Amino acid sequence: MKDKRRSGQIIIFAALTIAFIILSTTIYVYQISQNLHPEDQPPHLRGFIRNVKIASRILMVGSLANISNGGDNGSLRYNLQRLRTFIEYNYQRGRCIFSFRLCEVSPYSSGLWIFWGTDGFGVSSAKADFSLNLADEREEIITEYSINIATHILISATSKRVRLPGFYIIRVMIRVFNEGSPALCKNLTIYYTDYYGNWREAGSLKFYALKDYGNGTYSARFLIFEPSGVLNRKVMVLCFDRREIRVIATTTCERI
Amino acid sequence: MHRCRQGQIRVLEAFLAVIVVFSALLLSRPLYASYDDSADQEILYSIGMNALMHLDQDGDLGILISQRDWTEISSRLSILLPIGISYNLTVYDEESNILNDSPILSGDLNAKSVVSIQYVVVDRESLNLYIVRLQLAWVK
Repeated sequence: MKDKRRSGQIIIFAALTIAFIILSTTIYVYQISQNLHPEDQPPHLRGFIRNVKIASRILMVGSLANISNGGDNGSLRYNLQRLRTFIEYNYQRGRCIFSFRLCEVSPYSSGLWIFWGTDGFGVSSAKADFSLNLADEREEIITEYSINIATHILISATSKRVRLPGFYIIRVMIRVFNEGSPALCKNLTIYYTDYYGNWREAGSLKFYALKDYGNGTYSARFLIFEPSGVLNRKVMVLCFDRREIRVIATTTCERI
Repeated sequence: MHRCRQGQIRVLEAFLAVIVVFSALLLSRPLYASYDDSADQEILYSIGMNALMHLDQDGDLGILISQRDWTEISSRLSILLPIGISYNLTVYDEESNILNDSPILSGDLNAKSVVSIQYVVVDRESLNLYIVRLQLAWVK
């Protein structure tokens, strides 16, 4: 009789236990899902930071392309200041402070290193450090990053007398790099010096061939007629990479 | 008489037990619903942001905006965004004027939750700055 009375209480107790298990499991699953990536920032902050990094990178590429094509050196600072104002003004989720510092460590000056040498090396580069400070009522995030845009080329040239009297075959090897990695270029123009020291475009010669190896390496071969011969003939390569950044390198032909 | 009452009590107890279990289920439901909603919004945000970043790879988006090529932007967005998401893209210049004279959209945005993404774009050729606002929603 006593057992029968208790069986009702057991049902209630079992129901309460089941309810407790359901609730605690739900809360546990919810908490776990909330803390899946505790180290991560909220998606809108992550997205905004990535967006600012991309925008500053593209702006530096554009500025360097402009400067290497004869634009004013001060345009890099001016453009980054415009971007800073634009980003700070358009951030609507709290306070945003975006700052930059142009690299002044040698060989850079005002964030730029443009060196078009005569020993087969030429470089056009821009470098700056950035800081992005985002804050709202709950948290503050500071992100610091550096951007270095660099296009450089390495060239070497040889001059060889051929059997036909007065004819020389010039071979030029060109390697193009973006940020230190082999890169393709958009346009290559090769010049050489004639007997009088004037620059002439090799592409306008009848016997001219440019080979693209597809891995950032190019080779050119052309035949010139110079009856009196030229000592220390120079070859110059003008290169535009795919980002329109211009770089020039000059070298002296090695006679073989 | 006593037995009959006992039976009624058993039925009441069983009902009580069922009520307790179902109330636990009902209590836990809003928790899941709110989680689902915020997770949905995060997924939409990530999809939209990734699409914009992919579109802006190598500064292509800025060039397309400078060329006012809204058709190309729309077709690229339609390729990048998965089926089942409707969008509306608005382009603003530095003075916050709307640039796109024709709508860049797909589907309608009359959904329960719409995600809005603001994205800064730089044209690497003219060095103009733009703001792109992409609104996304799941198709009902």
